[in-house]
Amino acid sequence: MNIRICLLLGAISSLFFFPVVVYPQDLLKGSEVHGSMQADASYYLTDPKTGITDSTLAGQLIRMNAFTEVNYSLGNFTAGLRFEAYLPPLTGYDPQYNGVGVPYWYVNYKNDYIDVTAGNFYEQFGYGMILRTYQEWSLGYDNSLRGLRVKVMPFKGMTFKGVYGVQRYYWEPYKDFNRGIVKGFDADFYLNDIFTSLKDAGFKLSLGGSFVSDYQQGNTKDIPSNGKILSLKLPENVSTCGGRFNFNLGGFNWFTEYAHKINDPSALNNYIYKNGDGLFTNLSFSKPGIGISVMSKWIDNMGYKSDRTVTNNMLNINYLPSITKEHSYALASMYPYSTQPDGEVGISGTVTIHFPKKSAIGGKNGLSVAANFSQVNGIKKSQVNDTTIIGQIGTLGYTSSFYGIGSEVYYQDANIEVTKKFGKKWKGIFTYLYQTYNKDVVESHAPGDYGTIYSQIGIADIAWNITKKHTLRWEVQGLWTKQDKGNWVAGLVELTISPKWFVSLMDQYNYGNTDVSQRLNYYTLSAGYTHQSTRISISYGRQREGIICVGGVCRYVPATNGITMTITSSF
Amino acid sequence: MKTLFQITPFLLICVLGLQSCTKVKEPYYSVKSVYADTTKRWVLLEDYTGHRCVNCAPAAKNANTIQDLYQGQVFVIAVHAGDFAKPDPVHYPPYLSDDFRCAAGNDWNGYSGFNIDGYPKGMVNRRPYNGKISFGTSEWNQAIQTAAGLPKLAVMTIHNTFNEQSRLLHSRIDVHFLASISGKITLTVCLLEDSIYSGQLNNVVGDSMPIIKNFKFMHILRGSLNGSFGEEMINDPKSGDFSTKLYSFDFTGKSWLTENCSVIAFISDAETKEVLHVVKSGEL
Repeated sequence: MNIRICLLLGAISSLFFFPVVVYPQDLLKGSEVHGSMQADASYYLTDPKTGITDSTLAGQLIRMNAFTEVNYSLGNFTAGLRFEAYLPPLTGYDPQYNGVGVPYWYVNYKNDYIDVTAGNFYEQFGYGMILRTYQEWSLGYDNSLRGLRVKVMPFKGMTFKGVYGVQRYYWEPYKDFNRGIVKGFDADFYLNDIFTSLKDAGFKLSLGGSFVSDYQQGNTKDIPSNGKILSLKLPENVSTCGGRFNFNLGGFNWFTEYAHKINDPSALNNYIYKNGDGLFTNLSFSKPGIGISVMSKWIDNMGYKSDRTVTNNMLNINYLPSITKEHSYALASMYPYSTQPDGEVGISGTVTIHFPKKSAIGGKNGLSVAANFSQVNGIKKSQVNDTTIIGQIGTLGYTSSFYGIGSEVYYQDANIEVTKKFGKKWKGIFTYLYQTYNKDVVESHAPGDYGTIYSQIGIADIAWNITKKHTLRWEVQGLWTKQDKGNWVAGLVELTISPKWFVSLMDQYNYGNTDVSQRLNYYTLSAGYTHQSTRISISYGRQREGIICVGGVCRYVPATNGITMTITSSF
Repeated sequence: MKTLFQITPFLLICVLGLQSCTKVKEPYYSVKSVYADTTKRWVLLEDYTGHRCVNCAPAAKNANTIQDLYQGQVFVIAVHAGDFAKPDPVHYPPYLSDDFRCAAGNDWNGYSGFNIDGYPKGMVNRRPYNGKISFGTSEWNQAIQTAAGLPKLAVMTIHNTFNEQSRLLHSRIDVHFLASISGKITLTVCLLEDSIYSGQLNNVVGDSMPIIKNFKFMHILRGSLNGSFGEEMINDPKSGDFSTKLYSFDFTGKSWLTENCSVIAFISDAETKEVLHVVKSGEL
């Protein structure tokens, strides 16, 4: 039966289980409609210096990504949908998004005991290491589940969730088991709420556990390998389970989640049969004026998708946490880290200190310092036996010990940021970073193609509040490296006329490129206007090639040149 | 009780969910086939056999498996020759009364050919392996792996035209040389027939003994279209040289099922007899 019909019947039947009498005149009374929209449209120009020619553009000079989401609520019911249009997708987004439609719709009923959603939904179990569905517009990432979700809160402090559905894959409808069916169960226990004796305890403790299974039809697959065609035996049901706790005492908070996955041979792991494991832990402390956070993760063969043949960002069932700092400055974010599901082990620490006004270090206006360090290595892998190379298809792949740290550094980032006010009108943010970026690993190139890039970055960000309405901001950035494209310098000038207008000019200049013809300026002139909850911005310029990452999930961005207009609004 | 009622459905879901695991045990795969490497040499496996040879049934199956494994890169000729291939109307009549021998097979098998001794034996591209030109089944795989790793010397194609009324087959063999070869090159073109069910003596456990009454014979050599050892095609071919030959065969009077017949052609070094490349047509 068509899944849409199933869901519709489910939604209708839910009305019988949770009867609510609705009279026509009540349909609008007390109801609310909310929504948001965004449209990003670009007009592309040829730019021979960056390799953009007429054939690159293929006649598709104007492209647009847009969505409009509308949510309607009435009492305990909510329904909504999101319309999307990629006509065609902006460059750097997967061309398979080309099209228009409604990939996301749902109906929801919720009361104190139960919460039922039919249709599409985004869900996360714990930190997401065994299940997280979400959307990130800037990445073109959407792995929503379409099916049924039920949450039950039988008592205060207890939450049970069950999900059952199939994931979004561009515009391709689900039929004939063309991708996996995901089922999951999650339980959360807030012990301080459950046990009255702990109600006034000085600490807070919560426990959680999850189980997820993916059914993908097909128990064999023929794969060519080393001159042979191997007929692999495949597990049709791949399951994961996990547990977590969160302990809070005073200013301390400690969260830890562990996940385990059974054999899941896939294109992502070269069809090996090793179990997967993942651990994420975060210990933090904060009190007025100081914050300390230490994170660590251990990921071993934890890629988990509802189609074992897919290798891009689509159809991820789980989310592997990122512990590296996300930078917003242009040159600081030139080499971002992308999570490696095959195996990585990392640690990160952040210390934030605010020295108050009139203190010895804070001076007259106070001073904030944030220092951060993160490093991610590969995990230590050993051969299963003398005749099996590490990662060999159709084998266990390798053996590894818990938290065995490999010698190869994937990423390292040491940075310090100092924020200082100079009087009432001036504020400066000064940042220094030292980054190590294993380009071969992070960008999935063959070993030795690019090697590792070591860079130092310095940034000064100065804001001058000329008047209450007018702010002028400068950024000066420099990136120095002997590898990749060499040294860069960047500058920005931005004038904000609150609350409606801004105009900015930015340029990134690759003056250190060993290829003299590629010592280019990447300039952008931008302007924007804000009216209530609507913002319109337009920019013209050249964008450099690179990758952008959000939460360790990345998208390749090709070089472009042209005009871009963005409209966002909410109501 | 109410508590139990409220959480039971979810505990049930949890228990059912635990069943949703498929643990795969070793071996994780089987080798289905070896795909043809278009840059490598194609290989002829000659299986010298006979229906009275009690060890030949598993050898024939082994040859079939190898051909399937090396999809499109290895071709088998089952050469029924010698005493083991003689018809035997006395024992197990009528199962051993068929005669699959032919002149080409007899010549290859005999002293003027490769002097095959003891069955089952095989030759791989008629090139020595471990110092022997013919050898037992245990060495076939390794010999083929070696031969199949050699560079390709030619591209060969067969164009068949078969007239069902006249039962006349015209076969054109094109050879495009990819490398320069010194010496004379001969071309041999043979006819094969598949899927003949007949008796085969057997004393190997795993199949019926002492005779397999409905053994499926494959790749039976029915004869050569241009003499037992072919004919000279070209002398000292250079890379890029092209040569073609046209042959005819009249099926009139033959009881062979033409829909099970195919043409196999191979080029050889006239002096050493080593097969340099081979190609097989589809069924007629």
